[in-house]
Amino acid sequence: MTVEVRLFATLRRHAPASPNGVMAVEMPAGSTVLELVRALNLDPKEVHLIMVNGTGCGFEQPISDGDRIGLFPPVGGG
Amino acid sequence: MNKFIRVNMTTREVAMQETPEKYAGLAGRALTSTFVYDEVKPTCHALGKNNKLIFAPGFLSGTTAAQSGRISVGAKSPLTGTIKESNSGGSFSQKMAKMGIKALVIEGMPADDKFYIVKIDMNGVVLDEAPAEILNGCGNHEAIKVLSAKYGDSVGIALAGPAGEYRLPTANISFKDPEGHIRSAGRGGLGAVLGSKKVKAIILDDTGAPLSVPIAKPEAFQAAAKAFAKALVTHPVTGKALSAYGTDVLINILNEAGGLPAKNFTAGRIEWNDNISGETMNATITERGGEGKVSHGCHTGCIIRCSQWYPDKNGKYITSGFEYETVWALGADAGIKDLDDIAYLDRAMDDVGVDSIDVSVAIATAMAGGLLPFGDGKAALEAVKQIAVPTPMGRILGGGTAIVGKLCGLFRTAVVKDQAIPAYDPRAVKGVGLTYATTPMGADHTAGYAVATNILKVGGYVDPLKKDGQVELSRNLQIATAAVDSTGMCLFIAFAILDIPEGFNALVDMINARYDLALTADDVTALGKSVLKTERAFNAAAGFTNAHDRLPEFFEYEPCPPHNVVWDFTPEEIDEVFNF
Ligand code: SF4
Repeated sequence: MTVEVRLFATLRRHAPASPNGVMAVEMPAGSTVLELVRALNLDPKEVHLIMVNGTGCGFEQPISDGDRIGLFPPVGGG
Repeated sequence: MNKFIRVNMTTREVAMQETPEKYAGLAGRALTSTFVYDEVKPTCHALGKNNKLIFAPGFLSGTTAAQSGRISVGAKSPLTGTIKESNSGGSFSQKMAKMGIKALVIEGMPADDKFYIVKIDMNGVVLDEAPAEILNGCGNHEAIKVLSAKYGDSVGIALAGPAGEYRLPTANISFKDPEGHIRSAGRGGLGAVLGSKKVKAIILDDTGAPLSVPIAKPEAFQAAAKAFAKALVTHPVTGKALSAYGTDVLINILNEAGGLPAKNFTAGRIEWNDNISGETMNATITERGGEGKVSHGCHTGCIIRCSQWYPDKNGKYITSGFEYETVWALGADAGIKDLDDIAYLDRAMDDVGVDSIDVSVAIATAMAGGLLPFGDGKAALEAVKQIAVPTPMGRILGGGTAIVGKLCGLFRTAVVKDQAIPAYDPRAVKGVGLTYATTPMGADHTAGYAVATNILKVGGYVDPLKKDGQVELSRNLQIATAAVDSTGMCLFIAFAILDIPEGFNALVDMINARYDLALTADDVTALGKSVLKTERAFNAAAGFTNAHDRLPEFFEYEPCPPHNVVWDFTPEEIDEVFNF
């Protein structure tokens, strides 16, 4: 299956080929966010916010074909 | 810190008194709101002689504590008709505290049409006539230069811009920052109150003042200040993220979360997010170099440094304090897709002295109403510049979102108590929706920033799309914020003190060491509660009821994509927020 990954802030350095941090990633069906994070060679400790299709979730969240997955380091503002 | 200064603009008399017993234990928002409750007639006209404007540094202003330089300004608001506290960075608060001034009150109003400068130094207070060259449309950037040349480069300045002179409901009070740029007490039209009293500017010359305020227990203070700074540096948001990307990093976060209000609150997500994101702002500043700075503090002692200097293509400074809320309103809500256009608008709003949230949302509303072409940054800039004249169009935009929505015949006007709803859609970030509805200030995200817990997972996690837990969240954050706003601390310390208990304890310890007190965490909560109750009591006496604590109706029946959620709190549930 293919998912759309969006990396933000400092995580974008892991996607030098796509400056806006957006990339399509092939994953085996039934994968979780954690498996995706590992497949991307990201350190899970660097990932603080996970959104799958706009909904916040944890690493254990299963992902499906076509999902939009946003990953953020700790960030804030206001 | 015991001088309580009253400047009566009717008689032009100045009274320098000892701080009344009643106010001795208060500072910042606690002091401004208690004073407004005590002395301002709730039903007065905000621009009439019975309103009073009060400036007060926080409990910790003037100390070496990190982030302690915020100044609170209070009055009845001409925008909302409610009580108002608006706070700002700049050098005013630290100077005022070091000069031993607990509060400065401007009251009455002169019969003639002259504008004055209130100049305060260690010898007392003098009223000068305002130089003609800074009146009638002179921008704030120029006015600060003129005043600095006249009174000295290092003075603190609080200023009513052209919008304040014209008494427009969105007029802010601008404060000079350490480099001569502008920070603002933005919300609620307090600049119009200053203008109505014919005070163009307040000058603080702290020559001869001690370098620090007196500290009752210096050693204990130093230890607590160190622990406090450590918490700020350790927390990833206050230690790293805010200085790297500024608050504008939120564009992409809210966009992913589907809570970024777009096209006048008709959607929660945009496709052009990368044009205006914090990542792009950071990359643009870095690439352009010149006078650009990725991070900058708005007052001496800020170590979080969320601000920045945004330069033009040639590296020349355009603006600083380029905040998420402004970029969101112009970039997403008004669809202006060019960050440079937005930067020039930010500068122009600072220059005429208006709240960059209310006027930016007013621009989006004007676009929805056909008064300006959608997404047209150049047309918006021309319109904002007209505020300085003011042309009818300038007055309309300076009237703020509520007025523009009415004039355009729109039901989709994003205000609560006539103050514009900022950058987080209440349908998709429900906790902050409760804050917008219920805060005594009119729609204001900072009054109880539930976004932290709903979206950023700071201080725990409460699902933004569900109702569970939101009432308690908004209530607790509003209480904590009322207390923090009384300390002189920048609210961003909340990220660290919500997650790091030692940071919170250190904050209380600093106050105790400064004044030789024995406050506990419960006392701090009690202070926050009492501030909110005082503010609500003022509003009630001014005619506000629970029925005013509601969001605009369209949020109830227009689903917000991508989550297609509506605002679904019942009136009874909303009223629970202030049930304490
Ligand atoms: S973190 Fe930002 S708003 Fe707070 S004091 Fe520093 S520059 Fe000012």
